[in-house]
Amino acid sequence: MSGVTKALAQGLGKQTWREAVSNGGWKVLIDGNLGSTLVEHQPGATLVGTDKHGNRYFEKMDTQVGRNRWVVYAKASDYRGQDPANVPAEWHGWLHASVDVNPANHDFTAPIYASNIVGNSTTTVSRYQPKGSWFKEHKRNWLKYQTWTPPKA
Amino acid sequence: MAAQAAPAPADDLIEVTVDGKPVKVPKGSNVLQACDAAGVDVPRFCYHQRLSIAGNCRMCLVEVEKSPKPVASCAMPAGPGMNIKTSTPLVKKAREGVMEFLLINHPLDCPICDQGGECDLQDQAMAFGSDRSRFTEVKRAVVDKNLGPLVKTVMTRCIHCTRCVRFAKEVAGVEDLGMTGRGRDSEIGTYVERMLTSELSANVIDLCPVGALTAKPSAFTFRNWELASTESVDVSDALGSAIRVDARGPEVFRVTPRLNDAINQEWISDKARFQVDALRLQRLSQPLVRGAGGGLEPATWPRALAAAAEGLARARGHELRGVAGRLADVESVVALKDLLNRLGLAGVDGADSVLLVGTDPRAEAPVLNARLRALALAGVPFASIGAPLDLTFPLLAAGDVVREGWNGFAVLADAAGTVGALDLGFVPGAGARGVAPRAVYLLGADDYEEGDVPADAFVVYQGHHGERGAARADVVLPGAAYTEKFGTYVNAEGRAQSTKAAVGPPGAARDDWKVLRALSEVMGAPLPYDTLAGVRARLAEVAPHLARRGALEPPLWLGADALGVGGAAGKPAADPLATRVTNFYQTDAISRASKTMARCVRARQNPVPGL
Amino acid sequence: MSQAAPAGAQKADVIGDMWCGYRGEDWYYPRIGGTAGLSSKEFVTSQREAPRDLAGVLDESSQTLFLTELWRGLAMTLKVFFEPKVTINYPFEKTTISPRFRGEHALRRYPTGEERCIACKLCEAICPAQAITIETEEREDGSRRTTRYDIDMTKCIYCGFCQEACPVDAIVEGPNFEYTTESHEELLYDKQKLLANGDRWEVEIANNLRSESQYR
Repeated sequence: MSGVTKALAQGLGKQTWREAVSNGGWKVLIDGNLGSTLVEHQPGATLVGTDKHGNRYFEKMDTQVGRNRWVVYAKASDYRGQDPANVPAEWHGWLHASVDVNPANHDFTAPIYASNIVGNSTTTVSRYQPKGSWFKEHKRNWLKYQTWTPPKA
Repeated sequence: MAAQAAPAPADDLIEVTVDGKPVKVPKGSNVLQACDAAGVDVPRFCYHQRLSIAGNCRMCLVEVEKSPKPVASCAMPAGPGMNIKTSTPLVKKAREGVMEFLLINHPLDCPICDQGGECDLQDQAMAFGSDRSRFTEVKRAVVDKNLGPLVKTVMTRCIHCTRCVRFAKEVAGVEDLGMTGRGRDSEIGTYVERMLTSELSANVIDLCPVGALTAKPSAFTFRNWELASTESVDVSDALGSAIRVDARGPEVFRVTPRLNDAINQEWISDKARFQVDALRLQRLSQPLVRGAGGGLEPATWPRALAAAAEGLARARGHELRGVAGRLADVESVVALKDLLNRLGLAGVDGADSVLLVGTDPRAEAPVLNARLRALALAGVPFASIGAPLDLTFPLLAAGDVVREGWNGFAVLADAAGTVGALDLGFVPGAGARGVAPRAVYLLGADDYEEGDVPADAFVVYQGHHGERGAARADVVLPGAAYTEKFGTYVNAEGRAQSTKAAVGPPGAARDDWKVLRALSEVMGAPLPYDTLAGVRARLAEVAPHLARRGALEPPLWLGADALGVGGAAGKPAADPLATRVTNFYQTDAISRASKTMARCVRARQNPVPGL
Repeated sequence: MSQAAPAGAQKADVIGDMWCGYRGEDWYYPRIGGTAGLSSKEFVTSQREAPRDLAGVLDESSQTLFLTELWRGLAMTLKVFFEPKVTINYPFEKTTISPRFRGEHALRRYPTGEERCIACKLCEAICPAQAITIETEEREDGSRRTTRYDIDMTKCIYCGFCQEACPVDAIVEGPNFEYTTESHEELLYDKQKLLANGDRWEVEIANNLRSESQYR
């Protein structure tokens, strides 16, 4: 039995259920992780902020440390959506309780070279491959010398 | 001040005490030499054994009993009965103080300085300096000087030891460097922007104790702790300077001199040092065979050897010529000679004939020139016959005169492989003169005369760089360069020395004697040796002195019959005698392929930029 | 091996007549199962003698019939079922990590965008696993930069020595540890990847460095 059942028993409000279903779909009922985040944990939580990728960050005081800050991913319905690598750098510290500052209460001036990439691209075509990789077009040149090219006849 | 005299004979020793230990040193030594003899490490920056004494760094301060102040041990002659103390609190405080002063204006460049890891200042600051700094002021900076394409300068790091100034003046003989200004604003430089004009200029890189003078071609490319060193011998000229080849993995990064009092002391020429960047350019790394379209195509070893065997078999007797190049080591020359003899020949053609006087030792063997200079300054008279020369010491120019019956000449070979090949008897045979060759085997030879290789001859080229010889060849067999093989070279004095392989030959290239052994197998006349030891045993048969490495030997080949000069004495040639080395920086295949040498040539054309 | 309970052993350490716990250098467990040589003090509950008096027999029988121990266990489970869970709900909630946490490496830049790394090779020299490979060259503008900066993340032991050795704070270990890959080769990071990491995580790395710099 999951926390969802408890929520059912407690008769949580429709708003919570509507959001939960829109976020997670039918998986909310069977995925305890997802369900407990979206349904059971929500009451009493304050929305701290939203990042530019659509992830929402919640905080709930008076719970144990570790469970008091969480993120609801923009697309939480599958494992790629639930990838923790989707959390950008400015929220990462707050979410891991390393620091208390987050973009809602602190000015994170990003440097000019900052990138907005999030996520883990492994198993996709755009993944990082080292230069010598079989799949890369531009192979690394391992030769430490240059061979003489004979002059044309 | 003149360079320090050689140590006095053994019966002229005086006894001093260093840290309680008695030690006997020759009369005339200074206190620092006495400490070195006792095995005590005294730090120093400006003192160098082969340069005059400056005494300006003050790092060598030691305490001598009965002296009121600490004494600069490099400048104080050791007296009998002196009691020298090097680890008293006074000495320690003096060293820390001197180091503190040296570090006042020294920039915090260690991470970006090439000398990091092999820096005297770093090592001595760790060993003898204080652990904390009290410097809160502003450091001075100095503008960098342009000394040419070889020496990179960051003059802010200079600690004004004047080793470079003394080297240029005393050893190289060119007074290019000097110190201008005084105190905090003193600067070492050439005053007007000009490149260093000596062929030994890059030795200041080794001398400089800090990173003020570093190597420009290899700037920023390595740290010394990641290099593996191999002791070897230089082949850029016939001197055979002792070098240390530093390599990381398969590439050679630099060459530094090794101590060899008999040949090059501690110096090597600029060419020896910097031609190694050519070891990764224009390399022959796979066999090439001239295909149907007329161009050279890559081939496998079996196919190339078969093509070479077929082409060489077309020649009969004297129609087959072998030409040994400038950098041919004696192992491959003896293999070639044996192979050609087995194929039914009486003699072979030597490519690099002996140079007669009319030589420019400054261009051909600069380190040797430095030693000749030392002799000249010591009073030995020198004369030259041939074109007027500017060596760095005074000599009598006798002009362009060769008279009949004139006797007595010293022969200075200009290539590393010349003397060895001649010692093995690699000279024209009696019947070789009139016969046009139909097949020519070039063993790394790129300097042959056009007439020696007719247009219809079948040419096999075995070497390591692609140049004139490889472009002309019908079959190219890749061999190894001098840093990639165990080859023996005989220098101009007759000393046989061996190079050692620091890295392996690139690609499909192989050792030269092994290529010849394989070719002999394919041609049906297999050579009797299969290992390097076998080749060296054969060498000892032919020329026993080649087995005695390092010893000075009288040349076997200076007899007239060995030279092939017999019979008609001949009239003196109409052309004036001149050295064949017109361009010091580009004399053989490696130096011609080197980009650094090309930059040197271009810089020489314009030594004072802006003028 | 039968050992009497040492002096000072707590009552809770004693089960029946056996003592289990840490004694000397080794953990001592009761030996279970009847074998020859056991003393009369070494037995487990299932091997103890059956009771002979009526009260004891009634107790034992009713416990067997009504599954007393089982209900006690299930009641414990049900109690916990209704308590708030303490399990961290990963991937939505995360555990606490320190600002000093050593995770995925990154190569940082100066605020102008110029890369910090000056190819001094101190990190390569200090790396205990020899995970860093560097090749350097003079750049066109005369500065000292790397042409190759590879960190083999599978060799790396995440000790942070490279971060400590770097004189310009170029190589750092960032706070990210969620970068798993499906293939080995994706963990052989090269310079381009490391710089990209730096660009992605710079905001948090700089914040952490600022708070940690007073201790370094």
